[in-house]
Amino acid sequence: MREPSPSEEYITVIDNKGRERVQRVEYVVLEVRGEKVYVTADGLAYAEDSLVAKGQNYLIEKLGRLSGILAHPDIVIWDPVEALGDTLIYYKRLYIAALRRHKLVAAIVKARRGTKFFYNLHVQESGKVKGLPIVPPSEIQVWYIAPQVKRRQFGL
Amino acid sequence: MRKLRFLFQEPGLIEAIASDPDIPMSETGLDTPGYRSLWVADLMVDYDPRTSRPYAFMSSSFEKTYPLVIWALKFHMDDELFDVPQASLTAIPLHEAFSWAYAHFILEDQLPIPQPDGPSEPRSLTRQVLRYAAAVAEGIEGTIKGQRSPTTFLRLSHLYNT
Repeated sequence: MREPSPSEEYITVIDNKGRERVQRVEYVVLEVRGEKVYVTADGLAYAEDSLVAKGQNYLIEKLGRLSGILAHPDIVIWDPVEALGDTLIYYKRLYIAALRRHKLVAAIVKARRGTKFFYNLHVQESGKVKGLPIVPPSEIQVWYIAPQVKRRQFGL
Repeated sequence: MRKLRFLFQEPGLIEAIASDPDIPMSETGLDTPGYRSLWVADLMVDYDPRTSRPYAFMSSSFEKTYPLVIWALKFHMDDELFDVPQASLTAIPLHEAFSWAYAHFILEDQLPIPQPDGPSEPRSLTRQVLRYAAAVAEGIEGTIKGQRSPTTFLRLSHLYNT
């Protein structure tokens, strides 16, 4: 995790009407394959609002440790709803001290015009990546899996 | 009656969180099972452990998957009514709430003002949004990966009318 360089302080995200939206970059993370992920103020604000609204404040501190999730995930898949290359979902099992138990946490990263940016963070049901059981496991594309992790631990 | 609050982030991430004013939030927070796909891949639902009822709904590609999401909610979650203060709507089912969210957040309130479908029928945002989806789908080539073809959108819209 590092501060953005002067040329990285702002990124442009295309909205659903094709308009350019400039977002301020809070920090930059090198994810598990060494690719840059921009963590923007908008992305962090959305994720925090969402966690508070859901009564999951215990995850807010994890927003400050996104680099641990993105750089050392258990498994990463392409979002099965989107076209390949559009959205990655990083899953990592984390210990939540407030609950005294582990939870599977998902960090969503969008890619637009070659720029990857953090989109959301949420709790995911243990043992099932997004799409299961609606999408057959064979149709879910794994982008990365940690050496000690088995696909079946995530329903694949 | 539970209140529904929507959160939105460009280009198509939407969450709806239901809260019950009679059930205060615990200090340690909600230890929920976490989101899982339900009925359609892009509709993810989490449950409130205190009531065992669904309380958080997320679609991360809502700008593309809204016909399926709205249809799934109409088909499977039509048995509870919600207040949506941010839309000034009261006692509406979940699919109507999501149809409002689509019209408001994605179309930026550009959807034509819904008219009553007949003298005895109340106006339906869901009907309007599905018709819009069908009209748009007619101009789309190809399909959304893992979802349905434009033909299916048309069928969904027509099915709603039957």
